[in-house]
Formats: sequence, C-alpha cells, structure tokens
Amino acid sequence: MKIIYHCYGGAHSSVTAAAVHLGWLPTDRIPETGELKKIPYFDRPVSKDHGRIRFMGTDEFGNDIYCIGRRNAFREFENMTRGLMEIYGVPEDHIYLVNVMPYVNWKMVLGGFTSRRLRITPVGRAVIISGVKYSYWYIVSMVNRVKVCTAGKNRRTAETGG
Amino acid sequence: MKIFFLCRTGYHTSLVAASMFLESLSGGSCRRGNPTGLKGYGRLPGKEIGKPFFVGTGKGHIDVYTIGVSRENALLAKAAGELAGLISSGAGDFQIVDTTPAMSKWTCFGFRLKRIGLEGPAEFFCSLGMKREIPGLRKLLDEKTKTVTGKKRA
Repeated sequence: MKIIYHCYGGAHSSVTAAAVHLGWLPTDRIPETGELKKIPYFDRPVSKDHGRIRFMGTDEFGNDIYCIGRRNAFREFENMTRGLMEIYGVPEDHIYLVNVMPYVNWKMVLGGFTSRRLRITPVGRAVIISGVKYSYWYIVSMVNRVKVCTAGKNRRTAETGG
Repeated sequence: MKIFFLCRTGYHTSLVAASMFLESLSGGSCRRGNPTGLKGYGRLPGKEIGKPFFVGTGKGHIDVYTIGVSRENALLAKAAGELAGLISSGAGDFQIVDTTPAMSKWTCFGFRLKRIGLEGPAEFFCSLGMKREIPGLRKLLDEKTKTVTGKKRA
C-alpha cells in the first residue's frame, strides 16, 4: 500500500507526519528542535516543488510513505487520485490519502510563509518548529489512526490474496 | 496509452482539445446549451472537480480523458503525471497535456456566468471563447501530441 500525506506546501506538517509514521520521531515525547531539523525535506521544498510526490520511506508493514504539497487543491487532488486509480484498475485500498491540513496551526502557517515565501528562514523556521511542537500530539494520534486503518486494509488484502 | 487533457473545469477547453485530438469536433450537432455538440461540454464539475472524464478512444487505442484543475493547473499537471506514474507502476503509457495556456478569457467569463445561473450569456461567451481557442489548441496539439501519434497532426 502507498500512503500519501498531503498538505499545503509539503514542507512541514506532511513531512512531520511521515517522519512519525516511519519512526524517525519519538511518539512518547515532543521531539527536540534538532530532531525536527534532521528530517529530510523538513522546511526545504519551495513553491516549484509543489505537486511533486516525494518518497519518504517504507514503514514496518511494507507500506510506502509519500508526501506532497498540493496548495489549496485538496478536492481536485483527491478526486484526481481516485479517478486515476479507477482508470488504471487499481484497487481502492492501494493508495491511502491523508490530509494533514486540519493539524496545521497559525504558527505553522506564519512560519511557513516567512521561511518559504519570504525566504527569511532563520525566523520562519523557529516559528514553524514551535508550531509543530504545539500540534505534535495531534499529528501523532492521527498517524496512529492511519496505522490502525491501513493495518486493517493490509490484513484484508492478505486474506483475499490481493 | 492514455492522454489526459487539463483545463480549469475539465468540460471546456480540455474537452475541445480532446475532441480535436480524436478528430470528432464538428459543428453538425450543435444544439442549445452546447455550441460544439460535444458530450459534456459546458458542464460545471462542482464537487467532482479533478475527476477524469472519459472522452473517447482514438486511433491506436489511445484513451482520451479530461481533468478539471481549477487555477492550480501547473501544480496538478505535475501531480497528475506523478500519480499516473505511481499508479501505473512506471509503465509510462500516459501523457498529460495542460490546455490552460490556450484557454480564452471569454470561456472563463462564460463558465463564471454559468456558475451564477446565467445560462444564455454563458453559452454565448463559451462559444465565443471556444472559437478563439481553436488555433491555439491546434498549435498545442501539434507540439504535444507529436510523440504520441508519431507524426504531425493536420
């Protein structure tokens, strides 16, 4: 199964969620600033990278984890993905889309704008990290829900031999 | 092989381009509300925006689809290519053609009018826009689909 975390820029919330999913960040404490900065693609993508699906890694169940920044085209992106899966005859549970935007707070928005758009990275990054730390438990609980849902789907697929 | 034509709604410029590609665009079946006689032309996608719309199958078993991408044409063209690659497991049997650069401002104005319920003026402006788009679309198709058909289209 392929799990795609998507948010506005694909630089902060989706990358953090993917890192939690892959076990790169702790789930029993809030990560240190250095740990967040070490995540690949964290606060790196710029506007020309929007729309590009980036492979982050493979989780313990063999699911491939991806990230994408899709700006405000949430509905278009989800409909397009489902439509393309239908066209190519891919089973519905082959790709699992996760919208991380509900967990984005004002600090992440402000920090992301300052760091990525205005290119004042030192200031913006500090604000983003504060925002990520604030939303961290929400992101962790969302990732846990995703893992439970996808584990169920993986089991069903294995049972049906798909 | 599959070709995806992208435009703001998926039912205007991209549909005209897809029909031109399939060589099925003619004025013979024109009727009210549909200046081109094309199936689905002028529809507003609403919540289904982004969902591929099957237009037909062309020569050499090429399936032609249209996709509505709102204002994020460049982003979603990139995403559609990446997704198609991911879903088709890199088989590479697809092409994305963004028709938004060839879209006429009259077509945009037309579908905005339709959105607020002014069907008659919407139809007029869409047909006006479509006429203006055709030379640009022909040029775009010549450039983009040369690799698909293996020859320059007439």
